[in-house]
Amino acid sequence: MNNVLIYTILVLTIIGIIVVALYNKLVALKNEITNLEGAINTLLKKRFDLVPNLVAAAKQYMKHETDIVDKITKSREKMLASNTLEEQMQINDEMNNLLKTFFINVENYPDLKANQNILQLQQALSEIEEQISAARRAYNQAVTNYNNAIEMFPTNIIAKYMNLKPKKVFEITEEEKENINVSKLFKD
Amino acid sequence: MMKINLDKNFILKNLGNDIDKHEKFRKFHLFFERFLKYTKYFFVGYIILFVVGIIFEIKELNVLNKYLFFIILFYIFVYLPIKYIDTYYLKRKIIEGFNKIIKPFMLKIVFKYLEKNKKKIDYKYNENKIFPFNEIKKMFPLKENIYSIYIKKDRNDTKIGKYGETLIFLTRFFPSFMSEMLVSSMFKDRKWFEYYTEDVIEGHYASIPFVFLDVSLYKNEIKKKEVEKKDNHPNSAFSFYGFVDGTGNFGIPTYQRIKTNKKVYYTLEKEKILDGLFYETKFNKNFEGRVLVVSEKEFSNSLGFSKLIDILETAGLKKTRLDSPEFEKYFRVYSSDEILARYILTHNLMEKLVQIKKEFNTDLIISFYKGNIAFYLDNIEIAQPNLEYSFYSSEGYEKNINIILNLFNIIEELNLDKQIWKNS
Repeated sequence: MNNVLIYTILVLTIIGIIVVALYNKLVALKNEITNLEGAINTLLKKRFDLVPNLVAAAKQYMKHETDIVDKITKSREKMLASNTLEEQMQINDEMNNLLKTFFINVENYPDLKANQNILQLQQALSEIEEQISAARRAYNQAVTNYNNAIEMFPTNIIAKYMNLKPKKVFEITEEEKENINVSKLFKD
Repeated sequence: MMKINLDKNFILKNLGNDIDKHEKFRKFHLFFERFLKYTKYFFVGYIILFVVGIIFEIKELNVLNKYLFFIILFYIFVYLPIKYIDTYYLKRKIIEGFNKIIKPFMLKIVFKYLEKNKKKIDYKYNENKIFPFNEIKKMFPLKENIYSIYIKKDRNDTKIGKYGETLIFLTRFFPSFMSEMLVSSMFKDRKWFEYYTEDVIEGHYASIPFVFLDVSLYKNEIKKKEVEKKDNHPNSAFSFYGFVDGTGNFGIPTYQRIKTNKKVYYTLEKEKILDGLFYETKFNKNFEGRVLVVSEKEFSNSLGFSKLIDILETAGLKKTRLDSPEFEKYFRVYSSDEILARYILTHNLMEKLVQIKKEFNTDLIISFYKGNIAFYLDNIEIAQPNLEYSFYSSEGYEKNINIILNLFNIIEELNLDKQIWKNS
């Protein structure tokens, strides 16, 4: 009788330890995603903070192409007003397209093209975009690990009780898979 | 591999009579080598027949007895001297000639070719130079005592492992804490290591600084075996040269003649840790932190550790899985930050690294640290003398020139000269 009791307690203890370990693993995976969301947020903010400088430099020279400059400004306002990461990433993608058009237009203004501020801003924007792309890939990996954990046995049992739902990954476009080639931007 | 054709007159014009001398040594060496090889077969065959004749009492083979004396004389006065001349004179002359004449010539050809691509190149070649150069004192400002003990050579001027230089070299790839651990684990008890670098080429290619050199790191361990002498007479003590514990600083062995009643056998076991090519150049992105890419799953063994992962994780580098199945097939990545790893290892770069791995067909360690990219390529030397082929034929120089060209192609393939990112 005593033996049965001891073995039962032992088995329950082992099960308890396993459950705690799996619970902690899921929490760690969830927090990793939160951590990366924070990193992406910081990078997006850093990038969009460069926009006013870009607009100020452009307005001096590009007096006839206020349309693109206005769109860039509006995009920044949308970013400041948005709440979800998904929305912010979408706005960032839109900004990328706007910036491509902007720098193509810069070609028509030799003074602006040679302006040191514009060159530095261009480099800084490229660098941050690379970092955002890297953060996005890291986020996707973290989400994949998390989704695997909540769908695979035995962590799926605990995930169900914790009410954890699968998350979506960010889609990376074909263009983002290449290094940004600044000289190409000027060729089109 | 690129096809390269050098005109014989062009070679003669640039290298003069020295190349002819080198070729003569090479031909003599090849002749002697073949002579020694076939003579060895002859000796072995003779001994086998001789022994078989004795054991099985074959009368026909008894005729071999007549020639035994002459065979022995031939071995002592012809075979051994030729072997000695070939090993200690001819081969040495060939390697000397190769290092002094041919290697600098091949470098000149490569750099002239690269200049045709309108990229400026300047370089300095130093046959015997220890890398890293001046960083040791900067690295150990507070450890003057240790520096002075570990850097100076011993009184016999033999090559002993140099703690500081090895440590700094290893920090190109591994975190300082781990490098110190690696070096101190190699440098205790009856173990010590040999670290040396040679054939150092440093300079600038398209304004990008580079350095490449041959590096060797061997771990030596003294294995001791004691055998009790049967004869216990006090005067028949056995004298020997050997390694005596505790007489050197920090376990550095020294030679000392001592008497003992036991016959002691000391064997030196040499274990290769690194023996290959080190190549470092500036990376085109500015970053803080460290990313390490290792190509061989078993590298942990060659570095003397059973579990590289555990040690790297203790040193703050986490195993990072990247989103390229082809890359993951060949490499493992450890980084101080997940985002940094992906910032540096873009899909483009990962593809190029896989290409480089296939091109050199060897194990690699690639490190991104302090704004630099460093490669270690196992079992590759900048240039090896080709004893079999004449330098006048393409087999004599093509492979070596291609290795050097491929190293510089790394800068082109990885776009390292396109500094479009902000750099402080």
